[in-house]
Amino acid sequence: MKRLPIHMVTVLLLGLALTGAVDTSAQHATNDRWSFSGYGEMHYNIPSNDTAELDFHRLVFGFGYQFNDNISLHAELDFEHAFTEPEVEFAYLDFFYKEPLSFRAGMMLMPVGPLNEFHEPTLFYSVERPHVQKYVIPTTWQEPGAGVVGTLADGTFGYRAYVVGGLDASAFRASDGIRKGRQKAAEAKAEDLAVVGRVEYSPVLNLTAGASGYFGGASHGDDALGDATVGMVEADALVKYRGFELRGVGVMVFIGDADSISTNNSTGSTVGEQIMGGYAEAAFRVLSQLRSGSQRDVVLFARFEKFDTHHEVAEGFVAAPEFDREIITVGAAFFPIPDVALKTDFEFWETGDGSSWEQINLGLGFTY
Amino acid sequence: MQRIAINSVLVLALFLSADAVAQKRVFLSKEKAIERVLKKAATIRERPITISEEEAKALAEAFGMPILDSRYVFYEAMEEDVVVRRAVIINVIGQYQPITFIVGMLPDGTVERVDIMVYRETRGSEVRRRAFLKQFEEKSLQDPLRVHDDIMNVTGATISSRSVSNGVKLALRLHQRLFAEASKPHQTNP
Repeated sequence: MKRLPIHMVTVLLLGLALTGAVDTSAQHATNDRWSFSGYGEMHYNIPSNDTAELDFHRLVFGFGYQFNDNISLHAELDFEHAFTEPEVEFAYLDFFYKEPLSFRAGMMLMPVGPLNEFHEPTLFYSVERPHVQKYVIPTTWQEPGAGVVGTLADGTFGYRAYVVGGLDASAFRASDGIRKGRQKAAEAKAEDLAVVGRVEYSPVLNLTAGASGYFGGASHGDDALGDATVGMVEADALVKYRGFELRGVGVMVFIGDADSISTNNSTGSTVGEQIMGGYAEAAFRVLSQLRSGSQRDVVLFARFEKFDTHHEVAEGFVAAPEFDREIITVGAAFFPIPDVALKTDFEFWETGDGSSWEQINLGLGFTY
Repeated sequence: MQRIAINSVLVLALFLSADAVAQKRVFLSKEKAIERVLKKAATIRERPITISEEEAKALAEAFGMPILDSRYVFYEAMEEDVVVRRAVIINVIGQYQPITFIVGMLPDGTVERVDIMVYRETRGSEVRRRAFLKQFEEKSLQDPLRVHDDIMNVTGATISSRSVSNGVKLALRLHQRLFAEASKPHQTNP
């Protein structure tokens, strides 16, 4: 009975979404209903405390199909780690309804933080994605569901709100919190659903501010895990000025019944009751600023990250200081053309238990 | 069973009520766009231009994007037999689908106004923001017209920002090709 209202909301959204199917008469400016896109990134990671690794981390094949002016399919298949971890990155239908409202249903990227939905390697400058976007916000984070999306006031405001499948708390763990709880719609447990949303506001082109939230159960009827309610709040901002970019991201994750989860999860590790993380990044586009008209660009950047997946643990459990991490990353990205990036950076890690190490990264990224 | 029945009724009701209002994402009709850019000119003359396959190929190479149309129409606003401004409608591919927009120019080949007419994707329609489009005003082929250079992208719509920038450049290139002889200011047409 508890789940009835949320089911009704889902049905409502799906029902509305289906109405987008009505207009099939409109013409396209092109006859080509298919579109293809994608991206790839290869990494060479050389840590001072571990063996070096070469990884064709992601090779993504994306495609779209425009059924009519109202309905379109967007899908990406990700062949991670040189085809050893294939997954559906996303596959959803967009139903354009009426400005400012579209409906979306399928496997969707969670609108949490600035990077999860826009994660192509030419859109960020480090070789690896910011670590907060891995250990706290579990990028790439996709869930099956349905919702609404749109922009208001000529594009000054943007929003997304979805009802999606819940995370699986039985797989939560100490080092990366909810990350392993993503079920990726693979015969996923769905006794619990979640709501997720994001608003963006950009009063001027130079400034974009965003806020995201997530709330939902993650126990899927397993009483040993309690309700395992997961809440997440996030805020971010990006300021751009004459080739300078300054970005800040802050996020908090709250996990209910962390004691039950820590005792009864399949990973056997203590799960944080509160997880916190944030980063600040400054970047400068050197070539395009110094030599106007140049197609090439070099971006220099520096980033400070801090996150702790044991920010708070449940009573009776001990927070491990090793999960309190700080990383300084400095590096450069060379763009011979806007869709291709050659990157290098240095990461300086420090953890709460006093250990520290460095890592050199080299990377190749492209979008097409 | 009761739940299924309630849900079915809901879906049906919503389906029927929404049927009446489903529409394309048209921000500006062709007539409105021309009227806005040519500022309600009393006389409007049409000057079509067709580009050959080779030209389209060369332009695609130069801009790094497919050229979707081979025929364009320049709309000329006339005042006492003098062309005072021109407009052309351009289609460029955004992430997946074409973006249709109008570029208004002065006879000397500088941009006066750009307006998005049709946007067909759910992502990136923020390029219709006035603050973004205003950046093209007073630009000419002498300018880089490049994102991260003299054009600031709309965050979250980088690809569409690039496409529109390229499309404005294409409009100026076509204008130059068709009216090279008229590119000097205040040139009168016979």
